[in-house]
Amino acid sequence: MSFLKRKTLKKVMAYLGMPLLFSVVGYGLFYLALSPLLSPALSALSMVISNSRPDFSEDIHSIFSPQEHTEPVTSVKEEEVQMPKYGAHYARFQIEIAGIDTNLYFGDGQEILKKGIGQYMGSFIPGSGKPIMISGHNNGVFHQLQRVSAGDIITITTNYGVYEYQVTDMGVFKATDKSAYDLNQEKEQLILYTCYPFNMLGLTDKRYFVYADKVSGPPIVSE
Amino acid sequence: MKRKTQHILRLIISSFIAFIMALLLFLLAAGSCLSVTIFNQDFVLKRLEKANYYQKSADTILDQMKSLPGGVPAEIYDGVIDADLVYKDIVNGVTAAFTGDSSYRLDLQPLKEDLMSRFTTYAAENELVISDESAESLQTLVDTCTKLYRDQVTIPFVDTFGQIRMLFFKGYTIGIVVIVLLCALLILFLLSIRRFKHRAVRYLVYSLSGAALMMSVFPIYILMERAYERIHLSPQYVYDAFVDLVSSSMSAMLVGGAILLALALALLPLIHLLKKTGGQRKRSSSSPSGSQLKS
Repeated sequence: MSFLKRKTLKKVMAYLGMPLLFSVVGYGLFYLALSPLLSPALSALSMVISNSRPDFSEDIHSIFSPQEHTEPVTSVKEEEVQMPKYGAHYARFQIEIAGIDTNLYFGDGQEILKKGIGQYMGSFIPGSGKPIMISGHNNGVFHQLQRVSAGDIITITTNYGVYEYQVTDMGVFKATDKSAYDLNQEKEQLILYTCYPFNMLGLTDKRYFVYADKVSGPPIVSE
Repeated sequence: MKRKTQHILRLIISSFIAFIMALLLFLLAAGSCLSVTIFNQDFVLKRLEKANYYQKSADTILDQMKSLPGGVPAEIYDGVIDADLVYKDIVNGVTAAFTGDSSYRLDLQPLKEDLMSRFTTYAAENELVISDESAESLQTLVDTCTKLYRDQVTIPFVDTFGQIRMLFFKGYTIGIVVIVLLCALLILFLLSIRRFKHRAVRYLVYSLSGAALMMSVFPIYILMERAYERIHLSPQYVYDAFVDLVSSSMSAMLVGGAILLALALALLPLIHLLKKTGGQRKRSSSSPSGSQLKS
């Protein structure tokens, strides 16, 4: 390589290498200077940044497709039950005497209650042997809940079985009164609630509860 | 040997000065980018408008009000708020946060009065008696509706952000003056220690290019990695506005880097010119005079 070419190459390398060196050393210095602030900031960021972008497509979807059984179902295996996710329409809810026949969703957010009635996600699904808590607006489907009385039958049809519950009691409680229900009990009790009074204008702090005990339906069993 | 030592020393000092200038130029450019983007009120409000934030916010508020089990038909709420009202309240809130006006309070009284008037008119038209209990429930409904409105028009963390912005501008104003003065001093020093001025300008080019690279690496990383798109903000229009603000601010930093690089490239012809004139001056001072040749 001639002397001139070597000199030119040296200059070109300097024009590329020096800025690169400056930026590497510069970022290194900034990192050292700011690391006491960076670590907690990055930890905080890692708590709010997830692995994927948020999905704003409508959460509400249906997994309900009941199957006809030729023989009575005595029990259902746990692995055969598709656990619903938030927003899933997973069952059909009927109270014949009150003229209620509607979709039952998993979750009780505003979007769900606009469409039908929703199960509180902290309760359990039919067949689990534990309480099921369902809510609905009093100016919607659950307006007819006032016509329900003790002895009436409530039917919940799922993909894995049909469950019937008999109404045992009704009551009015404050919205914040936790003694109105017990989600820890070892009994499959159906707890329905809505705002009360039914025809009141405005937002009330009272809730109308209907309680029903399971009378039929296949229990979910683990292997 | 002494000459070589002096040469190496000049090289080290020049490189160090160029490095310091690169840092200063980077800080100046980064600060300037922040001052015209994320810390600029007009920029923020324009980006919100571009993301259709105000209309979507109004639609969401109305939708939420209509979803409340208040015993009134949804049509009662039509027209109670609109995008213009939301825009006015958001602008006032952002302005108050950015200027540090802690006395600013969102005026919800007109909304409360409008809602109560609509509810009582509905009751009267449908011959519904408003008892003490239902009056209380109506008031709870009005309060819930106004709370929904306040929650939607208040941009999250805007007060904290406003305080950070004020601190930034306090430092930025002094910082610009200090950085410009320092850069001027460093340039003069560089020119004084370098016999050949084109070599001094070469170090300026290194500084500008280094600053351009520092300005570009971080935003390129952020825009490629897109971690900001994985922050779960809701509703969607808040998320869209946040993503737009971050990506446009990063793009502005890239533009800042491009400007620095353009300045560096603009100095290259100057280096060539200085080298040429410096060489001609050297040749004319070292060549013998005609009388000397003749003698």
